Amino acid sequence: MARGDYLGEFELVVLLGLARLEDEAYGMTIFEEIKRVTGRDLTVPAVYVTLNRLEKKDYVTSRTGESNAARGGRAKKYYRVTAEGSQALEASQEMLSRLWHGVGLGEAASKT
Amino acid sequence: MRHQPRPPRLAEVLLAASLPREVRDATVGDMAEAFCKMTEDRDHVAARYWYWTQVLRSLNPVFRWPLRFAMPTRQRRTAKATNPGDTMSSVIQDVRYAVRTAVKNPGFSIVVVLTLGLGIGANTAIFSVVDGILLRPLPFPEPDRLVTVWADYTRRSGPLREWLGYLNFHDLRQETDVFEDVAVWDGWNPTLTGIAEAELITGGIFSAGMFSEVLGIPPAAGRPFLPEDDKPGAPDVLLISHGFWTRRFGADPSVIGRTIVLNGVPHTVIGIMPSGFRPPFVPNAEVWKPMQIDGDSFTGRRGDAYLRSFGRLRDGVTLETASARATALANRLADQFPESNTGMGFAIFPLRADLVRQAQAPLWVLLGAVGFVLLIACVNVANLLLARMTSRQSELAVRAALGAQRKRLMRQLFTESALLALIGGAVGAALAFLGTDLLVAMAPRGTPRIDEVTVDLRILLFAGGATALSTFVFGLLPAVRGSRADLHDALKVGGRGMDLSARGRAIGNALMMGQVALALILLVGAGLMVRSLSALNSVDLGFEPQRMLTLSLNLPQTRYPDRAASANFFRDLETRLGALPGVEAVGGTNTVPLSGLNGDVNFDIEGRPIQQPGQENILWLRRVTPTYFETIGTRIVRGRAFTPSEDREAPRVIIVNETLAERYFPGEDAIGKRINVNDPENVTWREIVGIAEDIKNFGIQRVSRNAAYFPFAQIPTSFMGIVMRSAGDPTLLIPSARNVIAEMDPSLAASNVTTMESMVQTSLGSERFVTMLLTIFASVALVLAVVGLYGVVSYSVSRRVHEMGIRVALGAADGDIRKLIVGKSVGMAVAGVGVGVVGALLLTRLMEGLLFGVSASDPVTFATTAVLLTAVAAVASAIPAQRAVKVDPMAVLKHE
Repeated sequence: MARGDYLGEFELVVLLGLARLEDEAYGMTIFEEIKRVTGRDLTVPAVYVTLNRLEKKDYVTSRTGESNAARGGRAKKYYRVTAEGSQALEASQEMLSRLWHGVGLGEAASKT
Repeated sequence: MRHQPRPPRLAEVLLAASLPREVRDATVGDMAEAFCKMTEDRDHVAARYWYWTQVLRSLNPVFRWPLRFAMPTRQRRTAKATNPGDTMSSVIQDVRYAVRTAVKNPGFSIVVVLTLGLGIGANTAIFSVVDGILLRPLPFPEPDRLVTVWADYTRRSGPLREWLGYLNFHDLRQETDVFEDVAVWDGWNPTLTGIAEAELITGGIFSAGMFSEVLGIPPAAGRPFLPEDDKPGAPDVLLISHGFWTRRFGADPSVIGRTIVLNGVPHTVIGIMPSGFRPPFVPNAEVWKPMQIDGDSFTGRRGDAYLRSFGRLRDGVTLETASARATALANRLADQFPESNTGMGFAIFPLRADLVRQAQAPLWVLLGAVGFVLLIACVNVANLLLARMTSRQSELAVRAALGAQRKRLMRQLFTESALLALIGGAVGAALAFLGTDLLVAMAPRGTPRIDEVTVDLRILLFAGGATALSTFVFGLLPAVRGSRADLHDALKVGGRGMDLSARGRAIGNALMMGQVALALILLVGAGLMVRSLSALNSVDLGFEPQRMLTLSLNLPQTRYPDRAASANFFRDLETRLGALPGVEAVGGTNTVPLSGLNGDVNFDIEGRPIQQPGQENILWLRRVTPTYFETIGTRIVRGRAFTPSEDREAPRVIIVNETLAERYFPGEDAIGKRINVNDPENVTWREIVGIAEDIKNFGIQRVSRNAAYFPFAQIPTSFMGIVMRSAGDPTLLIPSARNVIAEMDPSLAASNVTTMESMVQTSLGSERFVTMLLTIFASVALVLAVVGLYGVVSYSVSRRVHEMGIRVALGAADGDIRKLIVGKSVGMAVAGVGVGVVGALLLTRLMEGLLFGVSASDPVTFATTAVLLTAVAAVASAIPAQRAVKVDPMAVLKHE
């Protein structure tokens, strides 16, 4: 993995959300998964834009799905994490763990 | 297939626009799907709300996305985070900041918005009225070819715009080289019977060709008048208005071909005119019938002037050409028919100009006022923003020092100005619509074309643009003017207490004085109109309009075929009305004063040479009952009123007015002399038995003309105007009067039931309207000037807090501080007043035509307004002065 290309915060969130869903992951389901698990208030378009960015970095791939009347004829895009994407996730996790380790949450808590 | 709920279109479009191409479809589709689901799970409203919030919230970061590629790679990564210096996402930031700034200074913001709103709104409303009446073309095809045609009797000391005689019209109509057609019309007020209650209808009688050739408006249904309908003895046909059709027939399409009874005669409806059709000069007519006069069979006299006329010029024919042709015709007719046509010409005018003739002068004055108020509003806004420049400059200096780019700061100011201009514009637009409706509702009755007035979008945009420009120019000034060095200085002094540069202050003062001057001019104008109006109101009318009720009755010829029948009916009516409780006196006449009707006739005096054609004496004639003079309050100066015994059998008598007596019998007693009226062939000498005081019949400002009165009983007509003096409120008599009439003849309906006082007020209608409008303008100008002054002084004081503190510390008393501040404002105001007085003296000269009884340089008005404005300025600056006094010197000096 190229150095310096760490995942941004929101990219990480979206990628993780996608990773949690085995199959049938498209914008809406990813959005709902993130919302359900984290309670974070986000927007559907933001998710998609991030997915697009991730695709440009080859961390995810997409395929076009079916559409229906409710969508006004617009096709769904299904996403899947690539191998590079998985690697990026692992790298991020490792980096963060190292940083988190040794952080005295106890002292931080008493300061507030 | 089930109908899917669609998300809000606008939001969807915004969403799609902000997305990268690759995911656009998918995202929009997902959102649409979610919208449907939410509509089902919850409801439509919640779904829309959710959709919109999703779109709006996503716009900020999402818009950043495409612009990354405009930035170099290094910045791309850092651009992921929200950076206050980031130029792109900051558009929304700017707006938020602008809103916060505006809210933090509520006084300032409200003042600016109101100033903009008033300036734009008031001006648009007035201009719309002026435009609708004066400037817009008439709603007929090729309206510039329409003309009015009058008989010109100026060479015989008569009026320029006299009505036409039928035969003269008929001859003019033959000039088909210059006229496409000419038509005549007359008023008609028939009584409609046969449907529930009898009703008096306003109508018109038009000659054939009026609808189709002259005005060019065909009926919406049915057919127009044809030349056959216009022949005497042709079947009685009728065209009805859209309003009448809706009102009386419930818009029933089968009305065409039906018969309705007017004045006892059945008329067949042949067509319905389109909605909104309003012929000039008879805008309220609901029914029209053809004149049914023929040039060949006409039996009246050529000189009997009782018709009004319009024409349409042929395409390409100028007014001059047509007038020349008409003059040539008039000369030929004068040779052919010397008794009636000597000295008579044709006067032809463009229709639109003639229609609005009397409205013109006041409307132009108002337009001038409009311009002034707009100017004041712009100046006000400029001043306010200028005054705020000081605090802005220090704030901007701080931000610049922290790294903000100049362009960014300017954009910030621009956004703030835009916000104010936008809100002010919205307020102004709302006021414009409201104001226009209000003005139309308050316009005097009979104001020409008032129903064609709608809000003029051009002027709304113009006014909006002008004020917005002012806002932007002066809003951006702080950033524009601040050079590096200035900002540096601002920081050094600590950012406070820095005053405007000397030049800035001078501009501010000059603007302030200009505002005061403009406000003074408007106030003077309004004041002059108010005095003029009050002078008009106190003119001696020659009769007493108080507590008087008037009404008119028209007896249909079918049931009252001869004069005796009419005379008996009216005599009976007078007696019965007189017997009603609350009625002090009753009188009758054939033309009620100020009703706009007149009847000019020629006359000769016994013993003097018969006047030659072209040099007749003209008097204005009325018929009155014996009790008339007493009822209406017109004094008999010499002699007596008529007696009840002076009827058809008795010798003929006549009463003349003072003007006639003095003009024709100077130095002698007119009583006993004899006059013959109207017909040198059939001479009937009438003895003058009384001289009545002059009355103002033609309008309060008009000069008195010769007038004379016959006893009604000697020459009765089928039309009478009744005047009744009431012991109390005259409107209380209306029901009982109507009852009496109904008892005598249920098919009759009284018309023009009104009090004399309201007729007097109506005749002053346009003066009152103009005065009211000018007063409104002057008040708006005053409010704006005061508000502006207050704002400027207020800000100036807050900037000089530092200086005030030092003064107080050095021992200045409260009074000294106040004097300092108020004195400065009053000084400025006085200077402004001075300039204003000069300007007003020059400009009010243009108003002279509108004034009555007061000169355009009336010193009382000038002095009062000057003092008023100065006093108001003093008061306006007293409040900020009070604040300056309260300054705690210690607190101020600490911040040194």
